[in-house]
Amino acid sequence: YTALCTLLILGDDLSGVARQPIVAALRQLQLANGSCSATAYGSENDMRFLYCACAISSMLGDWTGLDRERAVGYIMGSLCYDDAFGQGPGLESHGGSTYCAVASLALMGSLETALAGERRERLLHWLVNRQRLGFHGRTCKPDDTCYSFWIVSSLQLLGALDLVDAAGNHGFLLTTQTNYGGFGKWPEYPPDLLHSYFGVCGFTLMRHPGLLPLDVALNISERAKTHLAAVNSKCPPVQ
Amino acid sequence: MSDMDYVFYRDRPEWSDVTPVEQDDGPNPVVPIAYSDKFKDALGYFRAVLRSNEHSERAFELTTSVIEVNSANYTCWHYRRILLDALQKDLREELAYAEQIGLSCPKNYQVWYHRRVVVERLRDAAQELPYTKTILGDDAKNYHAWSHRQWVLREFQLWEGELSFVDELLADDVRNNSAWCQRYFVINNSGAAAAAAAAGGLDAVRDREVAYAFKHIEAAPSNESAWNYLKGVLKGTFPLAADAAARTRAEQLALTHPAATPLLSFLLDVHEADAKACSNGGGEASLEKARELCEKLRGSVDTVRAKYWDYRLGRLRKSAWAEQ
Repeated sequence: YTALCTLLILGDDLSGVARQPIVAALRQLQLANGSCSATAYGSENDMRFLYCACAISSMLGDWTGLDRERAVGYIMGSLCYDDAFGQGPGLESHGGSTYCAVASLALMGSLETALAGERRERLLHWLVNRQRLGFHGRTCKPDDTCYSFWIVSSLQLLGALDLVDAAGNHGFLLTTQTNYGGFGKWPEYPPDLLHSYFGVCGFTLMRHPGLLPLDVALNISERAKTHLAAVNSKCPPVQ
Repeated sequence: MSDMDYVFYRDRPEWSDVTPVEQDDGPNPVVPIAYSDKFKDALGYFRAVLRSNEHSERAFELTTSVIEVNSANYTCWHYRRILLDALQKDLREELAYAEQIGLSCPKNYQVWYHRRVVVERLRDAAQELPYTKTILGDDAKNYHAWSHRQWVLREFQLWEGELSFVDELLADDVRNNSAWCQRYFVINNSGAAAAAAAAGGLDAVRDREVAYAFKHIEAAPSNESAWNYLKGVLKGTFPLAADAAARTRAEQLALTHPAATPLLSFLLDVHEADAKACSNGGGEASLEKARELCEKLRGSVDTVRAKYWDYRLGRLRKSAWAEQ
């Protein structure tokens, strides 16, 4: 997932990428319950790798490596009693896994059918309630920079970006920006690459001037996404 | 082995037969990591051992060194598992090792996975509840710990005592959402709950859980976790309007806590459901109550979500069952 994204960001035409082996690998990595593990050596399996598999399939324009029906089954089975998604069945709903679930559904073209009516409304309710000033990932936890991406992009995918209190979010992000540059997860915390990236994303989602718009489902810029479309237009799509 | 005693592999005579393999970062590495000497040394020998596929005690010790410099190296953990098998290592000792590493990096995915594999092979989960309890003692919301604990409970059917454990955690922090989630998990997956349901019917279980939720809600009426639990329990009995006990208690609480957001939100849901249930225009009063709650939330009680409460107001106005 990150390798393909990096290549696209750098403007590569993916001619050096062997697509078939990647797709074949995905087939090996999806489990019977629909989720995916990370490596053939064996690893934990959860919503993160399912998302990666969906993103990879989407970028390569080839879904033959993933059983989408099973994938949707795993996602819906991971709905928690409070209407958002955990990493797996029974687990606590979490902003990261919710993003992975919602983005995966969007990439698979199943968002409107899987999250319609009441389900969509209740998920919206959970998502907007993750905002105190900035956003947090689980009920009753403190705000953390990166959820300005995970939660807000989920809202955007559901067509509800405008429900965010931009001023509060903006204000919070400024408190986690450090004197060294970059963002930490909490105010007064040292910066790291993950929170710095998602801090910038947080501003991007609020249309901060000077930042390239994001393709939230793939988590790359629209510029990189446009480049991907151009690359794939020269490639016959696989059904 | 303390730092003072640690001998680099290149200086160990028993490893002189092995040539370390350098990492190949390509001709123009971008943002190359500044590995320590200790790191480069251990990994160089590890790459050599991987190439030759050596199964030996010294290779096993080497995996310990690699994990020491990077406990997230999943290739190393994988190789270590191969060696555990090939050398018929004592899995209880391995569990102790996994615990030692786990306590120092409680959010490391590879360690938790390794632990699960060892426990699976041992088919003995005796240490798992105490271990996860220790981890949760440091961080009561550690997601890995809860995930591992749920796996143990299900896999080994160790449900007894879990509800008490949840009670203890909620006594410490009634807003521990992970603990609330665990309660829901136990109620819905353990045999005991099914038995209670069989004995007293699903309604009895639900009533008990509603009472449990309200006991905690009354102590902290703005606690979103408890309200989410309540709503989760009542889901099967939608429309919400149907549960008289929950509605009554909520309405009473609203008299003394007029600004508890999740309480008002719950009542909004109740009145909205009431209005929906009246198809012939008899829902006007409920709709009015729902609108009032939206206005209150939007205007003063929960202004961060003003746009959301606006959205809810819009939905109330637009719904097919609303009077024109």
